[in-house]
Amino acid sequence: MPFTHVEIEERTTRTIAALFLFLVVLYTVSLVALVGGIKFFLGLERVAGQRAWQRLLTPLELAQVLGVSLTLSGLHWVFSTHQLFERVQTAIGGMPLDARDSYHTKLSHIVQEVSIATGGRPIEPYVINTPAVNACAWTDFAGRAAIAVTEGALARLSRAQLESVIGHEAAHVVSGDSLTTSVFCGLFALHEEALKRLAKLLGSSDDVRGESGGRLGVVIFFAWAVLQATVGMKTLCEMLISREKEYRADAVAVRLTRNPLALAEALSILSRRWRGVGTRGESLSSIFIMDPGAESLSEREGLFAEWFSTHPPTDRRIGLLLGMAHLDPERFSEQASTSLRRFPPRSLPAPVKPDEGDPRWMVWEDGQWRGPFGLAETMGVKQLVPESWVRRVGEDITRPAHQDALLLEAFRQRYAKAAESPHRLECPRCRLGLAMVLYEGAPIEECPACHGCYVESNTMTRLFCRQEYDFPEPVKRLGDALLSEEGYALARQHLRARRQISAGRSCPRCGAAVLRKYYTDAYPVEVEQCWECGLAWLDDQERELLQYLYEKRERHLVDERGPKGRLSDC
Amino acid sequence: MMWGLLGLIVVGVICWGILAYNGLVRSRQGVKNAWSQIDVQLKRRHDLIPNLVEAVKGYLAHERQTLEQVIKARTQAVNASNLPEKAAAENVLTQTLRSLFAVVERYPDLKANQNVLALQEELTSTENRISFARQFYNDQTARFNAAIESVPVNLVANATGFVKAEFFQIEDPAHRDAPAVKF
Repeated sequence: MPFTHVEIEERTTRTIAALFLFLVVLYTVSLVALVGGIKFFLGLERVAGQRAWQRLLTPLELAQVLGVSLTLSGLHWVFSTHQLFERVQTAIGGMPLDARDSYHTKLSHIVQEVSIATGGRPIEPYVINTPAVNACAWTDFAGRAAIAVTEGALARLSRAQLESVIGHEAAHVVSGDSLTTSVFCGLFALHEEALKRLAKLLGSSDDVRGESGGRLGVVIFFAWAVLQATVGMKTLCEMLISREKEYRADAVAVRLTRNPLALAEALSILSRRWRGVGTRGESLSSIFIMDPGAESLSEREGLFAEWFSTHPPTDRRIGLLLGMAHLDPERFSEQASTSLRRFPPRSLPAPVKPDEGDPRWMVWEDGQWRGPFGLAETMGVKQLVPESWVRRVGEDITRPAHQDALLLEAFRQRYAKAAESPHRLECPRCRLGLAMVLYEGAPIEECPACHGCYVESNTMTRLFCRQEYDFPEPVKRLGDALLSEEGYALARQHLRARRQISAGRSCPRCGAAVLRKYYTDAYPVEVEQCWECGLAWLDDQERELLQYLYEKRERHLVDERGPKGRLSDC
Repeated sequence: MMWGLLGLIVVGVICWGILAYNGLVRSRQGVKNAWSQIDVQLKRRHDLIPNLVEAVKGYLAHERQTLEQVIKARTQAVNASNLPEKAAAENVLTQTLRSLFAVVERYPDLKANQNVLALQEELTSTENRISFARQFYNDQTARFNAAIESVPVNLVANATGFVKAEFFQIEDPAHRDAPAVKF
């Protein structure tokens, strides 16, 4: 580490003290202006021979104002730093890792590896459920530290690149910068975030347009005024958050990981993709590795940018890292541009093959023998009932299904499952118990017979971001048809006619009503989704179709609008 | 007055000596703590290897030699006593594991097996942890060795029996290759 422990403590203490002093000065100046303004407009008696400032405030009044501003600053400080860790986590949407997800397991391992490199500093890993590509770190006064990475970053960055990004964030944690920025967020950014959400909520509320619009209008105006004041204070305070901390963290990350090239690659990927602008936590830009604002002050040079932005220009950071790696910046830029339009080779997922020793059956259906099927596939045959005719492969006996011991047991289990707790997941089509499988590293509950699956709402984001598997040809054809002008117009017509209807059943998780609806207006694939918890049932290949539509739209945005085009409706 | 001044100097030197000694003790404890971290990760790797061998041996009936090399290297690493012996044994184990993973790449069914993938990830992570722990240990060792060799702290170090710590080196030919840009 470039600094000793004592130097880090001293520097952090000085910065925190400066933040508190800034708060006191802000309140003092505001109160002096307020009191002086009131006295001036009220035309209060002036004593001859007084200086101008004495007419505004007497020494006694000044002392009183100072006392009040100290009290207000103290209250603001205490209120803002109370439960700071949890409040920042909530503001950015940080969620604990899913132990069943292989990508999350990888992230957990990488954070532990980097923690060892820092000498064993405990760091908690979190994930942010967004396709944006970014990472952040925050700490509190108790020493609790966390690093959060977006799902988009987890999917897009290689292990070495992710390691370097985590190393950068760990450098902020160990150097004390993370505490400074977390306190800064607590003092201003969190309030800005809350007020923005309140303003948005009030702005979209029907009451505003109704009879109570007048009273709410006053509240909205007041909230807007406070928001502007908070934004102003935050902008002024950003002068205390130096851009230099990012250069320092880059240097320490290189010392930890010994891989400047990986960090340069990661920064290049982050700079060319959506970083999270317009989403929750955008106000807390100072804790992220790269400013979520795509066209912000951070990418500019000059005194104003030096004073008021929290991040240095990305090109300069990459240039310094390439210098450490002794690589040509021009060649690096060329390869970076090419990589954005190049997608890694993928294969179809390997089909699950039953073991050779497993029994197989032929099933009499629609006037012909179908199969051979394994046990799960046989039970998944839609018209199979205990009286259906079946024949085991290798035997010459045709019998009703209930006379086959294995099939009889499977029927018993099927009917027993249906009678169990309503929250146990079973296939709504086949009534079979679902199996937890990993699809592109994410856990989903899949029916072994019809391959339909339940997918939670945050798992869908992971599936959109990850691109391990290729798509079957029927999915590609259907997806292209939906994205064509005629196909999309037809789907939109259908959307207007049939917005959402009841699927006639309750959610197996929370018991709320399940609706049959299009996934979103932009992705016209009909799914069954719980209106409360968001658990969605996708039939066979609907999952792949949604992923295909998402990736086609993303490629379209990259090709047509450039690398910083926004994604909507995902 | 002169006696007073002399006394003050003697007390100052003794205080400095105590502070220097305490600093060296802290530094040495830092080195020991860093070594224990390496030990923890090496043991973790030793414990994971039998699980990996168990998971792949059914698929790799024709690769018995590779599996036996891994088991033998693991046994030697577990039984190594001093630091140079440990470093050499761990180096051999790393090489045999790399050969095993190269063999696994040739078997698609094995590559798709979730247990094998999970174990591979655990072992990769353990390799990285060993690497980072070694890096931190070597940094602490370098700091400690520099402290006991610097003047005038070396006077206290020599008088109180502090000896240089050994670095933990593992030769990795991959580290000598020039970096390639990979997006």
